[in-house]
Amino acid sequence: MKTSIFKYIFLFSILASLIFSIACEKTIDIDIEDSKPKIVLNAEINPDSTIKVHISRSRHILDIANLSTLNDAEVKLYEDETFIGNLIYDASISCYCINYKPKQGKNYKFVVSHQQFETINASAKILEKIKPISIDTSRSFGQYGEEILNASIRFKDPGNEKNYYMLKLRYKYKAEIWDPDLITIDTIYEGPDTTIIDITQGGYYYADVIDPMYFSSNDLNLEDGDYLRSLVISDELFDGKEYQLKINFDENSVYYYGSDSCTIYIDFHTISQDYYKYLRSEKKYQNSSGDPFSEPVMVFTNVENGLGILGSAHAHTDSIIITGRYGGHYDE
Amino acid sequence: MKHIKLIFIIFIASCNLGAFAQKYTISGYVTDKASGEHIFSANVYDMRTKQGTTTNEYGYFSLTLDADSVNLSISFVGYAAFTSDIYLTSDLNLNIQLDPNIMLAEVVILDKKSDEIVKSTQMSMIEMPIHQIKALPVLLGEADVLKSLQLMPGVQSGSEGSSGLYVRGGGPDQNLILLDGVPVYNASHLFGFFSVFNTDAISNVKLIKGGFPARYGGRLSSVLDIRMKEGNLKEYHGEGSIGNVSSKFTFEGPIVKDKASFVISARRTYIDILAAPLVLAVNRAAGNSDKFRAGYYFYDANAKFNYKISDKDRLFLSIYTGKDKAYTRSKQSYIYNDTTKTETINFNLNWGNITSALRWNHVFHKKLFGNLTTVYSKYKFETIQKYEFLSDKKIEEEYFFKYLSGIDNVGANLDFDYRPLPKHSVKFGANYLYHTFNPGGSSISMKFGGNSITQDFSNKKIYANEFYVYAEDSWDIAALLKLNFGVHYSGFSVQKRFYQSIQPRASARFLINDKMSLKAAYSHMSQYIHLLTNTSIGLPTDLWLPSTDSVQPELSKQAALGFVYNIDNNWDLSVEGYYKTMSNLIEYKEGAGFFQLAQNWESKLEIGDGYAYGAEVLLRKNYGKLSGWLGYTLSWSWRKFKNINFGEPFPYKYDRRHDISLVLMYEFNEKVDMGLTWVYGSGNAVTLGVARYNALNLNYYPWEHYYGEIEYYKGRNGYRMPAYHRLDLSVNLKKKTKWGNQTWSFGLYNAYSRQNPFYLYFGYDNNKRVLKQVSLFPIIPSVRYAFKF
Repeated sequence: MKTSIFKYIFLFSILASLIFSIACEKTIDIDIEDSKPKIVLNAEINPDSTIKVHISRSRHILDIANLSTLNDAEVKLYEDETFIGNLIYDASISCYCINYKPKQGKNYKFVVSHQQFETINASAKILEKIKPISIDTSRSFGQYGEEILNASIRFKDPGNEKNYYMLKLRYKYKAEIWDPDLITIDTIYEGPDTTIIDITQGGYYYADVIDPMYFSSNDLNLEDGDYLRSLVISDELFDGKEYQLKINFDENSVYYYGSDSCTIYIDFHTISQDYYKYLRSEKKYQNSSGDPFSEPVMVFTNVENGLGILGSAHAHTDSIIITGRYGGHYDE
Repeated sequence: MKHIKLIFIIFIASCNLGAFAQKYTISGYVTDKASGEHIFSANVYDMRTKQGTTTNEYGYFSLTLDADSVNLSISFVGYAAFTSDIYLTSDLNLNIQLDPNIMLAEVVILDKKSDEIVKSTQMSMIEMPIHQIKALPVLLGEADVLKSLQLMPGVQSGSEGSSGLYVRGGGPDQNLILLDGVPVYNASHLFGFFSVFNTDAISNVKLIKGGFPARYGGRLSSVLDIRMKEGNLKEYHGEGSIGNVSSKFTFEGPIVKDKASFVISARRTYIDILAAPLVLAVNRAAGNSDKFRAGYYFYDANAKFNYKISDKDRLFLSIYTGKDKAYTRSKQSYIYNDTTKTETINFNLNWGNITSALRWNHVFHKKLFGNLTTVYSKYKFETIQKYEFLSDKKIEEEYFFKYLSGIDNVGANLDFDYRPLPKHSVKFGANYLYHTFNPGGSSISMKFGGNSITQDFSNKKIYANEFYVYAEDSWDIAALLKLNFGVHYSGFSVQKRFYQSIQPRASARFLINDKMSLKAAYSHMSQYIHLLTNTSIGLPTDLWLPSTDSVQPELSKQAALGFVYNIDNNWDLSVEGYYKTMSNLIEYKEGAGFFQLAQNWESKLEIGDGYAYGAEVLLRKNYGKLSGWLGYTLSWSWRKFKNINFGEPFPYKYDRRHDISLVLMYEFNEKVDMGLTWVYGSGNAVTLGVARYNALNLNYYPWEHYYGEIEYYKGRNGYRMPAYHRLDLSVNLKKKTKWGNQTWSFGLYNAYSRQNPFYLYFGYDNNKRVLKQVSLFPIIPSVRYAFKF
């Protein structure tokens, strides 16, 4: 009797577990509502550069075709509702351009239309730049003897209003390019001044953000990698007060071999709220993408009827020249 | 403090009203005649004056009446009622044994039970008899308390097969789950597919969803009070069963007849044993030469002892322990340069609870019953990974990783039942718990080439003191109006911070007539501990965390209105509506998750609010050949977090617009009965990309023109999975034998094999991107053989 009970239950269990194991792998297709493709506008406008706007199209999530740039859209620019002109597509940089620099205090609106898509528009105002009270630099040595550049930017935050800041470091150098066979100087290379120094990676090989604000309330830690390469903060914790932003960076992160020195530009930007929201959310999105156990991140957009971001920034720039053991010439 | 003073003045004054006539008290215990176990919630009622009370959790009652003739009735569902005419001339101690043979007095019993539902002030409460829980068709034949409760309106299941409870828009952490008065933190086995409660060891299950009496506190959304069997004081009995995934056995009996008893119960799954040949075969088929084992099992054991010291004193000791273990072991040996090299990799995932309670009941006075309980509970989750490389049995390399989290509690409760006057039933007491939180820490050690490194990434343990005091009075103001009001004051001290909360509680019943009543309730609740989770199933990785300096206690306010109609003595209809607000809820930040182990847990949190509202309808037929219920819930549950979804409200993960449960049990005769369950739920809310587009160019170098890609979501939880529905069937074939009873139970889970969504993901079919749905359980047959002697 007992043997037959066990036998019966055992056979039943095998049957149940077989069905169960098949069921786990069973997948079926289901429909997802149709999301109409939209025009995507991405641009940062600032008074120091002429306007460049990247226009592309979105695709339905199940559409695996490339996210192509739109090169036949009509892009109109308005300054405080006054029409400035149409932007022209420049294939060399895949952007729509106009030889016009935005001005402080003005509001800029882009209206983009294309025969296949709904017309979109996006606006941003160029804010008054906050001039730092001081920018100080010094040098120290890290735990492995590496040379560390310490920078501190002291500024006064305007009270009773929300302010957002972005700190970016760029570098530029002039290098002698040697022909390795002839051992003669072949060319003089002059790098662009828009090469960005990653100041958010942390760790040994990169600049190290030590500013407590960066790790404050609304942010994730940086140990999982980063895609922003600039320091973006709000005045949430120092509204109306004087504040000192501090960063350290290892000079290893700046490669200027072939030259004696290198110019580091410190750009202290005042940015729009929309731009801040976009940069923070996009950074979090990129950091967590691919991790099925992390919470989904919604990336901010301020484009009406479309997607993307129109951000405004206004920078105060300072520069320092560094020389060091990672510069210098090839041995002849 | 002014409020507390005022409440106590009203309370004392109300207790003294009408205290002028000569009165006497009938008090005593109500027990089961066959087992000697106490009966909780039995009705004690004077049919002449229509005054009554119910027995408390320990079967004790006290009823004060005028010196006059009394037509006393004591009844409880499933038992023959006791009735007696008494002329009350002095205080009377009456210990009553009720006969569990219901055949003779069925009608009387039904009348009283339905009557109680209409007349009680308590609303939003579900009581579910254990025999009903055992009769329901369930997954793999494992009767489950929590899954049975999910079939009631206002209580929702999470994802497929999960035993988590989502009550009135709240989260799974907002349920105070008490096993013999001890809080249980992770009530799941097998990743949530089974609950930790073995139905053979349980005597009573009660869930309160709203209108919380002042004696309960510490969670926002519900109180689930589960009582273990006490153990038969008269005879030895045993029961057990053998099923597809587990077997269990319970044995109970007297240690000293009518004086002391015990009950022990144990259960273990044997998926690991059944699957072992399969794992070996798969490993061999894959061409792996190494020894490989993998498996999973859980076990739990309950034990309870009770000792009747005197008529006034009784002692109980109850213990629960349970553990889940998933493991893999692989070992590979080979000979290289005349030395034997051995490589072993072990991986263990263990979690489990221990709870224990030592309880002393004492009747201080015929009107005052006291209960002192000391409790200890522990929940531990552990992951261990070990790699060893040996050369001729000598360790050359070793790598060890361990992650540990958990919570320990030790404390005591002191509760009193005081019946000063016939129209007042007072409860008051205090509770203290000392918590030790281990919010997750990992340690790594490595040995290689004579070097060794050990690194510890543990979050510091957090110690906290939690207490509450309460007082409540159930007051028969008038024949038609009854009120239960009280106050619950609690405090929590952690990291030099002290949080406190005064929580008013009130519920009222207005009798429209003997068959109908209107009820209303309002309650404040606070919760000092939080559950951090980002998975839809009850994973043991979920972290229990205290309120700290930066994470404040959760608070809720709930108002509910209800209507109860006892259609005839067998059918009940209840309709309830509720509105609940919740604050200081926690969620992972966007982009954060459990596996970012290096981060401090507080840095991964967002704090926000929630609100939920809805209506619930329950039509229930309690007895007869056909019994069961139809439940319907219409509900909304929202969350609002400043930094999630750009501050806009978004639907809670388990916001379920419609939820329907149909449960039918039909008894053909004494030998055959069958059960049917059909459930329907609107699809769960998930966050799903609907489009993809270019990001702003943020490249290092100006000559790079690569644009990143972003998925566009229509808001957090903005997409609905397909609806969930399922039919389960069961047949029980019973037979009386010389030694007892045996039952063969056959079940079909998901009888029409509906492919219900478990999760969705984007995949590819023939180079075409598609959205796929993974379903867990198709039709699953089950069989269980049970015996009882």
